[in-house]
Amino acid sequence: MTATTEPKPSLDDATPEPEHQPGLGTRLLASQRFSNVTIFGLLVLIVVFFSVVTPSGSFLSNFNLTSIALSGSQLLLLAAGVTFLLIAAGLDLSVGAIVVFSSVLAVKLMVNLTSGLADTTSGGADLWFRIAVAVGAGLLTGAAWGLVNGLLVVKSKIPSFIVTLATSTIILGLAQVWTGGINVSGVPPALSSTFGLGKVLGVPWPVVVSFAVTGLLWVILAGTRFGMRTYAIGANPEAARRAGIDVDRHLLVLYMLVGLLAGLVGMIDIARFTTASVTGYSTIALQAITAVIIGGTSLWGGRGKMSGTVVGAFIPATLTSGFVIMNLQPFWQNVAIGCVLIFAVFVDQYRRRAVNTL
Amino acid sequence: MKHPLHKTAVLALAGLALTACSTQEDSSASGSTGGGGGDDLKIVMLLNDQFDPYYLTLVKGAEEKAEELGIDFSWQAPTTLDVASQTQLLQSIAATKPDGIIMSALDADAMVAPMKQVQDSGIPIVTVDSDVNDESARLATFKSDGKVNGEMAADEMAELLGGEGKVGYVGYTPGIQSVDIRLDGWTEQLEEHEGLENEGEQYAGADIAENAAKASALLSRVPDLAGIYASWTNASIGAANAVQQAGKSDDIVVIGVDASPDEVALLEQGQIDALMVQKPYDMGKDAVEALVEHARGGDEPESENLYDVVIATPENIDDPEISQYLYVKPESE
Repeated sequence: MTATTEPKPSLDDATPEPEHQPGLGTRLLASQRFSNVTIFGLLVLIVVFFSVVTPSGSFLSNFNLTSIALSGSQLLLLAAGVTFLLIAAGLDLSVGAIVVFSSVLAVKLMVNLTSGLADTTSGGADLWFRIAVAVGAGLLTGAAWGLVNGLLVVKSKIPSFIVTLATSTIILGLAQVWTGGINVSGVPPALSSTFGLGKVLGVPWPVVVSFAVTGLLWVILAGTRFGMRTYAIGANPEAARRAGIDVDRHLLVLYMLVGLLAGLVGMIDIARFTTASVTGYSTIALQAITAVIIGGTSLWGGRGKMSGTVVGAFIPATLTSGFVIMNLQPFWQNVAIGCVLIFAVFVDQYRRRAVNTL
Repeated sequence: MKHPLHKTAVLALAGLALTACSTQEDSSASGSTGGGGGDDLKIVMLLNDQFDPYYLTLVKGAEEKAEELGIDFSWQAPTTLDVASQTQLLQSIAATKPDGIIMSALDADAMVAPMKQVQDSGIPIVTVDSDVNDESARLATFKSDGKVNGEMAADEMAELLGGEGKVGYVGYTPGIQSVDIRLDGWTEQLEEHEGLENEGEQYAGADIAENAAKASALLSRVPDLAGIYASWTNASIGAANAVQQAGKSDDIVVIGVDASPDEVALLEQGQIDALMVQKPYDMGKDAVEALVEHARGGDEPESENLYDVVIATPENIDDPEISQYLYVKPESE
């Protein structure tokens, strides 16, 4: 992160397109509009590499690209929320626990609401209404946990890292108490066949939802006053406060947003796998933060772009798939993924530094 | 240890010291069945994990046998999954002077010393599910034969595929011996079937989504893949999902392990073609019987009691011979 080598960016740095005097090429490179060119280029390079070294047609097959999109879609949603939070200099380590808790609640409710129904495979309006109620409850639960996180962070002044680490054990613990540590099954097959495995124009529903929501968040971050305030708070909370921004309230909304997105990921998960898995998602919070950082967002707040996050969220899924298709020995896959991640961030920062010294 | 999974999560978080304040009572779950037979025998079971359907079934087997024999039976399970907590619980149980302890060892080496100490104080121990590396530390063991699990899966795969096709493995990241050994059995037995081409193994963590992603990538690499052996619950669900996503449910044979309710549902829908079902009920039942025999001065049990698996398929799932082995559903459902 450039923040380690230069003073914290001031409010002005957060404005989307700073003016530059040098020639057009340099201006383009330096322009924040293109700040994610390298990381995007790297993803393209990775894709080209895999398509060359793997048997023809296996990596770039429709099925494989769909699989990568599916694998990355849940991470993308979390990363999109975390982008807001990191830009505002906050962290949330509890998203994995919220995913688990929301899915447990939704499945339990769904089982209760639909147990009396004769037909849960094709489904009429009544079934869908009941499913929608349970899904709505799952989403609200996610947002509610986000509110808890936000209140604790804002009111207690304890660093968000510690607060959300603690709430993650509490939330996961409660989910374990509630379920006895056992997956909760009984999701109506209709939800899985229609949404979890369903496609629209050949694209799986979970991917469509993930991209639509991320697109919306992209617009909010880049083009609205809400987005501007997020940058301002991360760059300098005191300055933001003096500028009349209700910082606490804004942070509360951001934590709720992240919680809501975690709830949404939980709903996609139960639709895909028809069970609420209590054992999963222990590392997804770090994966999401990693994706956001790879995408060029500063760990210290104040700067970042949704475009980078989108690329960052798909690099791990692309690597995983590519290495399996290359038939790289499983243990080496982990080593290789770690190396590529460090290389990605290094190249990106090297370019930034070069641009900054112009 | 059969289910590595919440372990990873719980250990990671426990490492961050947030559980340090729990007392022993707080950090354990427990239950008991009233017994009270002629000689007032008391047996306690100490598990190495919180419950899942597999352990629930194991406890049920022990409980029902205890009731039949008219003895007092209770169980404990630590919620913090480290050797220190299990040792502490073991010592507390020993302090109540039971006539025998059934336990599932959290670590095959580290639990040897504390178990020997308890045995030396005159309380016999038998292990279930997870044994220790020193047989003098326990009277007998009752556990699954993980190797047979993998071998039978390979044989079943050969049968379902008519002896020919490319096959792969999806399983948990290595490190859990009782799971790893399933891969050994599978890999070795595949050699016996010349028509089966081994396309290697893929590992994933606890997330079903990650297991599905690895299985999908395997399908991309080997477009004509004919079968997948997935060696634990979430891998089975993930592999079945990947195959379904690829629209190849009819072309690819998925063999899973265990019989949790969600896996059985997938079997009934035909998304999973066979489940290698372990016999936790029998392990629990036989462990109680062995300790009671020992206490009443009857026959000494065999030192090693290994359990094979039964293979559940959509065709035989309703057969009582098979369905008796399906794991119990949690009460909350």
